[in-house]
Amino acid sequence: MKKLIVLLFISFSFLFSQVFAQTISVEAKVDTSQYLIGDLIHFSITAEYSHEIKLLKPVIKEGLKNLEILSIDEPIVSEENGKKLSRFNFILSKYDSGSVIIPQINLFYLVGRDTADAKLLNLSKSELINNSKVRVIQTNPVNFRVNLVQVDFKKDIKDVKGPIKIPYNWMELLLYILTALLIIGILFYIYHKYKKKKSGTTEEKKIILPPHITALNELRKLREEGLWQQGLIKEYHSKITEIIRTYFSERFNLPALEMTTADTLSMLMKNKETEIILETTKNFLTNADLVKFAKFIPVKSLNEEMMQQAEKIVNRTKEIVTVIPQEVEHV
Amino acid sequence: MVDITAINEKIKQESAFIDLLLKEIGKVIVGQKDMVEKLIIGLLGNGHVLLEGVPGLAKTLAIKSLSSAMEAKFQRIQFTPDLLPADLIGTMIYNQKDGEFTIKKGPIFANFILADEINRAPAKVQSALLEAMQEKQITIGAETFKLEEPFIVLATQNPIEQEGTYPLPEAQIDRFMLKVKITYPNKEEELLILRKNVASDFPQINPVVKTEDILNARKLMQEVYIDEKIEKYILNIVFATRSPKEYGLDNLSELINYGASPRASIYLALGAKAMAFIRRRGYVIPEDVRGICQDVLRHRIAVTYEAEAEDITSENMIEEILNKIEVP
Repeated sequence: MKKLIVLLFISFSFLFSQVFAQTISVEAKVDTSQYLIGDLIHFSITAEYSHEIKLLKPVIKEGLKNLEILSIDEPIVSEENGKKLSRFNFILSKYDSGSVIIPQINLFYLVGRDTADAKLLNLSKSELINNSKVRVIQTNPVNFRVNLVQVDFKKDIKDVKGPIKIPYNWMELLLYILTALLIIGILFYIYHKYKKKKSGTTEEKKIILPPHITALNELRKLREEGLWQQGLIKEYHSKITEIIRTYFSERFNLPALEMTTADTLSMLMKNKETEIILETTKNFLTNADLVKFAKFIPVKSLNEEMMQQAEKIVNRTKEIVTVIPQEVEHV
Repeated sequence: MVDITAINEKIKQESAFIDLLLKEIGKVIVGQKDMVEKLIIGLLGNGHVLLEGVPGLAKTLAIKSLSSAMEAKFQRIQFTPDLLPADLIGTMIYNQKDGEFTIKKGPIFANFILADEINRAPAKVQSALLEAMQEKQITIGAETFKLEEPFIVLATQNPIEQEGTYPLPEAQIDRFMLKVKITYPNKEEELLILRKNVASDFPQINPVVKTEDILNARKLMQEVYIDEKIEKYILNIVFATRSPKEYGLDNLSELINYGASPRASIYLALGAKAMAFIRRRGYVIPEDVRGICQDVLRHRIAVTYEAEAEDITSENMIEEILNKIEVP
């Protein structure tokens, strides 16, 4: 009886150990055993393990150091027959011929309560090896061969193949044309809408005055400001010359604002219409230069004389046409 | 308060030597008035001048004539690929008699240095010269020597025959106050040149100006009044070379690699003052700035490959800038 009880205990223990065992198995393989140089080698590691096990990411770089790792896919985790299945896919390549052995690769895993320990999940390789809670299982070594491309030296050398002609894909072409037409249409619409909006909002009409009227108005305003009477002599001379230079720019189409006195005078000399005011302009600009750049303080009469000279320059060179202020749309 | 009338009067008296100088140089140099004027500006502005022009335009003769017209020490150094810095600045020589090293000063110890064809010497020689230009002192062994004032380097280079030359780097070319470009004389001028050169008696230049005159003129030139408006005009021009877009010159932003340095602003002001001085004026006007602008800026604007490909030079850009910046 006693013997029977011992036998039963041993049998039950064995049975339970089989049912609740924390089992894990791994397999490493490649898609074929023969490759040509530069071929893509599809290498995978498949681990099958029970739910009590947590598999850590494999450390494979050292094992594959003789091979070029082209890509590492995210692990695929699935469940089959009540067990977990993790598959790690790698695409490798090799540029030397010969026999290749991918050595056994360590797969680390945790069991039972240790799987909940977050610290264990982020251990380095050396820590993984030295940690007693981390268990390890090794894959099988994988053999394959990388062959050279066979060249038949007896055959003649052939030229490189020419570019392959791809037949026109009319549907694709049509799609491009339609897209281009659509873009042109949208741009045309936006442009018209913008133009319409701009012309619609600025319908206010501006009266374009002849240059001499503008200049005389500006001179009148300057006189009213009474700058030199307030001691702002330099400002007065700067403004008065600016008005005359602007007048020259508009009346004779000269870039007088960007020209020096000498340049302005030499340009005016070339114009028959300005002959009569050449001497006055010379005095006017030279006197202004003295005040502006040489700290020259003119007598009061000269300030007034400057205004008279300015008016004379404008009046004597104004366009002799009957000017009817016309209303034009400002675009 | 600046008394312009008094400065004007003083300048009229002190600048009389310029007429003498121009007259004396005019004995041998026909035309090239602009070049001679720019050489005098360099002399007054205490800046060095680089002359560029094809061979045979009297670059060397002009510089020799200028120095001959002055009572000053002149040295001509022909730059060649085998020239060494010691050939320029001097070296230490071992004296066997007393067993000691003695200093042998180089040709750079003069008032006027004509660095002929500066781009034919390698970078180490150019550097030695350009260092002297900047510091106005020379160190041989452990001893440093101050160069005598006025010290001015007048360098020449020709724009053709680039083979076997060492173009001056931008940082070093910046040390020249002016880069003057010389063009061919006109027909009348060339006829005079021809007649002068075939005649049996080629005129001789006599010294008419003393170095003290130049030093006094330099002192007086400091008194030439430059108004704030002119200073702003100068800054606008220089800044337009750096940020053309801000001045409505969008087309130039793709053509300028980098603009003029602050040295350009300084030399523009100094050059404009010197220009006013030789025009017998005690104050600077925009014409003075414009007159010197091309020579101060042309070597300080680095153009892009795009500009080179389109054959747009820094001169074209300066012209455009001047036509855009409003004159005060």
